[in-house]
Amino acid sequence: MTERIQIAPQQLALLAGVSLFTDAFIQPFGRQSGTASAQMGILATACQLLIWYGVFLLLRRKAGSRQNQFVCGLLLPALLLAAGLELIQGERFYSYVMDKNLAVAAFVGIVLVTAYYGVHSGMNALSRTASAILAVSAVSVVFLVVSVVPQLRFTNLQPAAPGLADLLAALRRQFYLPPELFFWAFLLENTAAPPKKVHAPAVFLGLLSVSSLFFLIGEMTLGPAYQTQEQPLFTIARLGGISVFRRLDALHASVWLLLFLVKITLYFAMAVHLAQQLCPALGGRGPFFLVSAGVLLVFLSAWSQQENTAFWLLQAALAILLLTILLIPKKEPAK
Amino acid sequence: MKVLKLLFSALLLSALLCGCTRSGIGDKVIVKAIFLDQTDQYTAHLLVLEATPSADAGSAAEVTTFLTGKGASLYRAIQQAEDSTVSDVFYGQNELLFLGPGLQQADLFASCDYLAKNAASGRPNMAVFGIDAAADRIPLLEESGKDFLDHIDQLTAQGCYLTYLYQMTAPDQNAVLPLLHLKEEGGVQTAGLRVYQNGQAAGIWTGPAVGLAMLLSGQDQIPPLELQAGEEGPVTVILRSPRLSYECLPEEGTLTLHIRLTGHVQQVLGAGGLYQKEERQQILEQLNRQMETVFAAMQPDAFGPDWDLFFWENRFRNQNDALTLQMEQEGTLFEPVRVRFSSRLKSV
Repeated sequence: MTERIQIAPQQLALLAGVSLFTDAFIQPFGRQSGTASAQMGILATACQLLIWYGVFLLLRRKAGSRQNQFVCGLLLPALLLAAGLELIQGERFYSYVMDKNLAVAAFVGIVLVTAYYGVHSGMNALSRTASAILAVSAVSVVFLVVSVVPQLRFTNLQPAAPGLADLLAALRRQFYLPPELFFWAFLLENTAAPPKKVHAPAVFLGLLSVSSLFFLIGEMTLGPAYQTQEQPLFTIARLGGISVFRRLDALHASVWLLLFLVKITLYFAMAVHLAQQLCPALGGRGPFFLVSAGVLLVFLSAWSQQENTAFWLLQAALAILLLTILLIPKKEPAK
Repeated sequence: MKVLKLLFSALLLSALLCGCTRSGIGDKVIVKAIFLDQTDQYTAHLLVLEATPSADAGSAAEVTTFLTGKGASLYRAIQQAEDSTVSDVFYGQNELLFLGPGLQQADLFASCDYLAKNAASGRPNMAVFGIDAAADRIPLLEESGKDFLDHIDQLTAQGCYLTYLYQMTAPDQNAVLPLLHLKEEGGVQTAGLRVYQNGQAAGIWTGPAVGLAMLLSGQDQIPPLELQAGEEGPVTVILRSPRLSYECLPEEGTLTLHIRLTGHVQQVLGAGGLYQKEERQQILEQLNRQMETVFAAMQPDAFGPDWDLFFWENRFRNQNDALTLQMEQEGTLFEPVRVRFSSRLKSV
């Protein structure tokens, strides 16, 4: 990545954090993690985040400019897959929460327009927008908790003796490698002086806190029915109300869709940047249209058909990328 | 300023995504209750409000009507009901689901599961009731639809057992369904609670068992209890601040859950009128014993090897998980003596 994206470490951490947070609000439809009890879910999430942190540290240690072209070559298709799957995920959530909704083509069109605007505004503008949307999401979470307080029951928590086998099974069900770890590490390392403080522990701790809160209020409200919900957080949002306000779920869903827009814009921004590195001849808006074409190809190929296959392809690509980075030595700095 | 522009753009985009601009309130019918039943086919009645909005508040009107559909599946029945009107059917304010006698005996949980997964018509906070009126009687309520809804509001305000749709989707298919009796003139009254174990109807709780079930499920606004005061005959008892306290104690290598009912008897009404304080004191012991008898009759239906309607097993496991699992394997966990109920009501 010879041409560097100029963004402060805390802004980059914020972007990566918001992108990772989105999965806590909008459960991936194809990868339900709600089959575990809250206790097991929290433990499995903690293990998952520990592994992510370890992968992130490894990437930071091993990433360097020697691997640039190879990394770009493998990360770009992975990001196209990730963006395509995220687009499917967002459209499905939108259809799920809305009574009357736009046609799929219109929805995809609006997402592409938003991504175009976000990509060409730059990463710094995107991070400022993300911080505002994160603040709004925090307010949404507060309202959500307040609205379901009368329905919380401690007796609804399913006691589970946390055996290692159960924990590993829960971890296997919900674990996945996110592309955010890769481009976060690479953007940090491909600077003239890689920063020491990158705020990664704060991001992962925040993720664990939010996920744990969602597991707890989900199970305390829904009891045994929690494990059968496709979108447990949205179900809770539909249950709760504050005073005469009974349809707060509409507000919550709007905020969570904004998170989705930030995440997919970030994927587009990184994919465009990688495309520019791989194809310097492409100028102007060329990389964006190339990336959009790739994402649409993934969307149309995988939508309602091969989503699982696309997901496992993505995981395989990221795993290969990780192994390759670990094996290719980092370029020593010139003496 | 640029950030604000970005934020406003994003918010505007999300507003465009919600589809709320397609029809005004005058083009919608607002569903207030859903009636479902099954005989040889599924029947769906949607009790809807048809609004005729007006800038003059005095001339604005709303009329209740039924949209009816029948079909080989619940989906088709609801679809036909929705298609019977040109207006948009709006479910956003619907919080009532009534299940007819046919559905109460078969396909209850499958139907609730379908509704829960159907984000359009099934809101998880719908209160679910079993109603004794067959599907062909329901449209007769059309003219008194608003009165019917008012009766339901009154019932819930006075205190009745509430089960929500999401509770009917638990995988174990154990649930308590509040029953309603539809009177000839269109009013409703409570008719007990039907208990389901593993998806099958197992019994009906009536009388003071309903109030006790409400307390056990965490609902504290219970209606007056109809009890027997020995020679005095039946009395109506109003409690103030009833609450249950739970304590799981180890006893001789096992665990026992002690449930204690406390509160105050505020009023007792008998055939001879209102009981005075001394009279209330005299029958207090009988009332307490009777509550314990009611609990003993409910216990086998509430707590068994495959059903645990009030999550008592969680209390055992929170005390000692390993011992609880051992008791479960030995078959001693569900013995009646493992859960002891005592009533310690006092007079005001």
